[in-house]
Amino acid sequence: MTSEQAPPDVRETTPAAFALEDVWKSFGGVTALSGASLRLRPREIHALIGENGAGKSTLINIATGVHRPERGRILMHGREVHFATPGAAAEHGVSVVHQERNLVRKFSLAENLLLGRQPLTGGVVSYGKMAAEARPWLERVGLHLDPLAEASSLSPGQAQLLEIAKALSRRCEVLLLDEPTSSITEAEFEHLRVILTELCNGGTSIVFVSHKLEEVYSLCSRITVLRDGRNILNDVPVAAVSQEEIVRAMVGRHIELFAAGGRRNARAGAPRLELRNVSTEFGHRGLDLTIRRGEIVGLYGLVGAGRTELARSIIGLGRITGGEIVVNGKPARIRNPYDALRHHRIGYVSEDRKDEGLILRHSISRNVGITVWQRIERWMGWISDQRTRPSVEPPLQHLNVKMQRISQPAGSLSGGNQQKVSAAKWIAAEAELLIFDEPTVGIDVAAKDAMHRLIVELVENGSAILLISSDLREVVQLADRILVMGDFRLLAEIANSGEYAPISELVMLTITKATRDVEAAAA
Amino acid sequence: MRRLFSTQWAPLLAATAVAGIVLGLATKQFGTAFNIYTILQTTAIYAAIGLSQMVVLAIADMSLAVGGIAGLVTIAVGGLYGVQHWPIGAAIVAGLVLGLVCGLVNGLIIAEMDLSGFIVTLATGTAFTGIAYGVTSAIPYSNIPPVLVSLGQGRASFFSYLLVPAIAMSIAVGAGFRWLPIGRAILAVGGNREAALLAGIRHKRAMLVAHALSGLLAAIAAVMYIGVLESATPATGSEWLIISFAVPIIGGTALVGGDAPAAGCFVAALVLAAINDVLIVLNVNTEAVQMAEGLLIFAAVMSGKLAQSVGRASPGRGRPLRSAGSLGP
Repeated sequence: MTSEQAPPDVRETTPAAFALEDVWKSFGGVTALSGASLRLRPREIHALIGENGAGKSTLINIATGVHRPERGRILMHGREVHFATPGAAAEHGVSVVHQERNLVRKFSLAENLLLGRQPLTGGVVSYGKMAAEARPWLERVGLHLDPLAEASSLSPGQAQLLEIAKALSRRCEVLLLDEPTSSITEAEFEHLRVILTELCNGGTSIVFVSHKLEEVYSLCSRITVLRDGRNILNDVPVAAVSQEEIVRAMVGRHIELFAAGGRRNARAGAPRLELRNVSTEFGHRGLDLTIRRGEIVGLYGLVGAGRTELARSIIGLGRITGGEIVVNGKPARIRNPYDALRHHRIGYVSEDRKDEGLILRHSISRNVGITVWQRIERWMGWISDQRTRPSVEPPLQHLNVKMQRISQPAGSLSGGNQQKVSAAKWIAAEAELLIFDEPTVGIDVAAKDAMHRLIVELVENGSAILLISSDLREVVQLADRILVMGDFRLLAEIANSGEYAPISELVMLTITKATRDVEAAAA
Repeated sequence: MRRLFSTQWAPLLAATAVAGIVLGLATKQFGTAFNIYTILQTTAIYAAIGLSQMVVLAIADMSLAVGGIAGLVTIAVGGLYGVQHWPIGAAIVAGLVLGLVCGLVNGLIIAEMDLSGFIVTLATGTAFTGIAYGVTSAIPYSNIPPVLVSLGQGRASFFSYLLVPAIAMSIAVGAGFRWLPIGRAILAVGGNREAALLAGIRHKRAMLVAHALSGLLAAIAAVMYIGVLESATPATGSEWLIISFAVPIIGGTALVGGDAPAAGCFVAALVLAAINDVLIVLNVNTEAVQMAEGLLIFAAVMSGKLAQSVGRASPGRGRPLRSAGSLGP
């Protein structure tokens, strides 16, 4: 316990800036919250932690007027308030950045920022005012772009920053950030940390949801941990609890976090995929890389470096404009993902699981089975759920997907379990080269751990893996070699020793040096 | 000016103009003032019909009741003037209000019961048509006010007077979507309903306004058409369904919602009217006209796809912010 923390008796008398007390909520008979609480002091950054499905999102939805609690109270400075709509919550100064990106893609950055409150001149929308009003907020989160550019041109990371700018611009008193850092890099987090700290000193109270405990320690002063809709740790100083205690509170048991440290280059075999001097329509130039059987190659870079675009080009979603792709020693022309999977056994686990990884309204079994239909179809292309079962069930069981039935819609699962289903699809397909694009974005510690184990298990069974991640810790933990990408070029290849400090320093140096070179060249 | 040429319908307009000039030189009938007037007269009607559909497509909904509303409005105006002997001004206003109310009913049912516009307007559209036939016993009113006839059939050389309301509507709708808060709200709900909801935009109100506006525009189309036909028949609107979708789609409206290119709609109306006319001038039978319309819808969608794949590599995934020139609707 640090000395700055207010003693308990004072805490009881000063009303919290914002508090949810004993909140209950269920959806169609499934209890999401049973007596959860959240207490937020003025000028504090409060961590809200819990596994996927623990009730964090429901709690946030209640705090922001999306849902109404069945029991319990919402208090602002000691007075009870009722939020009938998200608009009502915003009027009381409660704003939220959701983990899903809620942008109108055809609108400009400025209009997205000021959505629903566009500046008017004589009753009509003024685009000039809009741009001027939006620019400072955009620059505050480091988006130095034309405010009137279309939002569809943003990368996922930039879109997340726009969402944060949007919330900041509401001049809110209470800001809830639901996994704001899930798709941004460490450098961007540093930037965000400074902004949030400033904001907090300026009088805003912030709730910070994240699965990255390092971030919690560097940013938050107090922490609340939810499990099964209840408070396990209730409003305690972050400094007073260890990482282990937090994890135990979240998952309800002690888990030994997986460390892949020792398996460097265990059994790297023949090259599975080689790129020789490849350029793409996205602007990649002169890429050379080799991925061998039984090897994890990490691909690290800042958001917008061209990593996802490279993955998409490999599976045929982008045109290769020069050079050669070699699969198993033979030159290959991969025209589309069907080709990639059917003829070359290359699968791509998308970072955007909601839009690209899963068909949320379809059942789990259909989502997983989609890659094997071709193999098991009968006469005239008939397939049945019965026939997909043998291919579909083992990977689901293996990944320990928490579900009631195999026939339930994929959309009803929590984020972590959705990601598992997305991965199970490719295991069922028996892909030999898997490209994981941000496989653990927005999933909790236990699910992340399971995903890491899965990746390692896959390579140990002879698969080759290209791991795209903005989580440098994850890359260092898993990869045999680390490729650093910047501005659509490969900047360096670093042999991974598994030690975070020296490797991360090397990676960051590579990136800053490249950036400086580019700036020097421009000047 | 550069933005003008980068729009989806610019190539379409250019191709039509070139084809028009060639045809004008090659055939005797096509280039005459009267023939061009005929094309423009049809253009005006098509544009009005297309706009009526476009405003609901903008909110990612659709209306199958455009024709039904038009039929009902037609007999209302015809009956009030011809049988009830209302002054023509009052009859027209009553007709427009009726269209607005029909649209409002659609919007209310859709927004309050959270149903899809497809189902609701399939039902109400059929009902409106039924009422129109029931009231008139399927007999058209032939006592048509001269003012509507001179609007529908009047011309100064090639310029059809109907272009005046049609162009005014296009500009008003286009400007409304670009500059009015409610227009932006409709596009926001159409573009990303969830985002609009969370931003505190009243999506039910937006839905209501979009459908009411659609009803009003359908009513204006109907009033314009009474003079062209010189008859107020309940059959008006029965063949408008395909046109109502063809015009906005060829004009560059996405079925998924979020945009409302009124100018594109007008150009598409012109193109469809011209094709219609050419095929008649060239003595091709009417079935071929329909086929050509179908192919054109397909071509429009394809050219949109093509422009997209040339413009940016893949949706939203290209290099960040290559151009900042395109914005708004």
